[in-house]
Amino acid sequence: MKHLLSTRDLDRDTAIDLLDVALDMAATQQREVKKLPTLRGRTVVNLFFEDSTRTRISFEAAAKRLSADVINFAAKGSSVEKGESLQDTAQTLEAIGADGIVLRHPASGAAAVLAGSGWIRASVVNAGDGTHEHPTQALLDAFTLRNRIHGDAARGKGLDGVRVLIVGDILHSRVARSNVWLLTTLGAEVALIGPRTLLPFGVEEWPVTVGDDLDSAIAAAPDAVMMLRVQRERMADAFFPSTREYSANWGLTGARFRRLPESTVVMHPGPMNRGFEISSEAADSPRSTVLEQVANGVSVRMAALYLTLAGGDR
Amino acid sequence: MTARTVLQEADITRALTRIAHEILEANKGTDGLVVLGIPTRGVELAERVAALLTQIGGSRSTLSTETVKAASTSASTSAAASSSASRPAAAGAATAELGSAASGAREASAVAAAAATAAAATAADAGSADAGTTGSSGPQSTATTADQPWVCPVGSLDVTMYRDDLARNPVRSTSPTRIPADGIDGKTVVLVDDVLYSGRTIRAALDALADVGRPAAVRLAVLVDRGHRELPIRPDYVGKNLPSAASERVNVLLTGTDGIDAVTIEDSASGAGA
Repeated sequence: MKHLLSTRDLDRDTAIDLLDVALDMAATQQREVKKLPTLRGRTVVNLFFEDSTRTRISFEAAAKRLSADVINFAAKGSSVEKGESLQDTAQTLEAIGADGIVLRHPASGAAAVLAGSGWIRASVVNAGDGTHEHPTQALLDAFTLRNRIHGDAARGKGLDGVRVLIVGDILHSRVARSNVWLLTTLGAEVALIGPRTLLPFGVEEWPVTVGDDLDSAIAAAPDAVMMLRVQRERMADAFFPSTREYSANWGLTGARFRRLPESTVVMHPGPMNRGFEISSEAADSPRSTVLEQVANGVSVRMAALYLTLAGGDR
Repeated sequence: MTARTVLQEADITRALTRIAHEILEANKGTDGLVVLGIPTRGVELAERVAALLTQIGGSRSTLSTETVKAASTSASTSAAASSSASRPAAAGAATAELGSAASGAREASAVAAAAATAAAATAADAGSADAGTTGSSGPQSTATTADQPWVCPVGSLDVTMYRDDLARNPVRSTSPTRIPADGIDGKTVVLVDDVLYSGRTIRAALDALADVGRPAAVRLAVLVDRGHRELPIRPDYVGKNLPSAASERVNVLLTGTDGIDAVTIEDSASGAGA
């Protein structure tokens, strides 16, 4: 694997292989010495054109655990603000010696452009591009869910027949898109629930069921509920009348949480708006995987960096 | 591509049995042994060697201090009940006698005598005011665990992420590393692999092992040593020395992975194998 750009073009075997490598990476994080020598001498640049502390820290930790050298490049206050293009920035970074570029960009498709342009030889890992995809987030969600469902026997398995409910702002969510492709590739049945105004155009073409009634979806006893953050920073228009109405209709309130079966896993990619899309009762319960997802994020990103950067077939 | 069979099923079984005996002989018993296989085929070999070690080592009371302890605790149940008065006096001699029993005294009475005093020593060491209850409850609770025969701890050690040739080959998937629950600190770790060739895999394994813990000693057992070492690494236990040309390919086939037990060597113009 030379680049990791989207989950839509991942086939089932590649995805399961990546999750299995992540399982081995997670096991090394229980050891006395957590650092692996695998990417010694390789340089990874975190090229972030959008603010993101959590994803950047996670990628930074992953690269450092694999002994890569890490350069963090935040576009704010950099030459990008002086008008430098993505091409020039990337070529400058490669001239410095970057072997891998972790790219976060507000424009959908930026990672694919960088990878396919021929500007650079470095591997590109997409860390979120506009409202398109965020593949490592979906992979860590699938990893977390697979571990919760299969336990120690997770290796080599998919998510066949697992029913996942993705709730909230689907329109702006690259996490939702990446999850739809990955989870269905792994065999899960995905249902999207949200206000009609926050469902994307053309959603009926996706391999999912779509609805706007959270209560009846919860009554169907899903195996996992994934709450999405309402991305107020991406909302120029009014998509719903008020936050209270949103919370009442599509928030995972305490009452809704209590109606879920004991076995249902509650997921959230973070950062959470407590009391808005998710109640504290749900977020802090043992069935919530929020912190597990963060920890697994490092393992999954280690696997992604290993598979894109370690081999000689790059 | 003409493959010649070098070892058949019976040869492999015999080689592994001999290796198990050699391990017990060199280790002077089963004390602290941990067997770790290197994926893929080393894991199956390690499991077989460990099963043989359990089978052979578990029955050798003279070699195994574990079994001496087992005998001592079962004997002590009666001894502790009868001789509560002699306890403080006998406690001093206990350590010396147990030591000699462990080093090879086979006589049952000596073991029993040492056992009775050893039990007394542990009771005295516990410093309990009520010696009677300690004497009756202590040995019984340890007897249940000590009565279980010794089972050789076995696991696997993936070395993929420690290889020095990662950048020269297409990226490979990792395999699970399973370390026995008691860990490897202070233990004698026997690494098991199918074919020893350049020695680079073993170098990577030593690095991986150092990240897991600090064994007292590391030994190396291989089914086939085909020569052509590139590093100063030498196996401690060898199933078969197989002088080979670098252009030949040595294949180890095992029942669990390949459905058949065999070692074959074949001429392949396309170059080095294993």
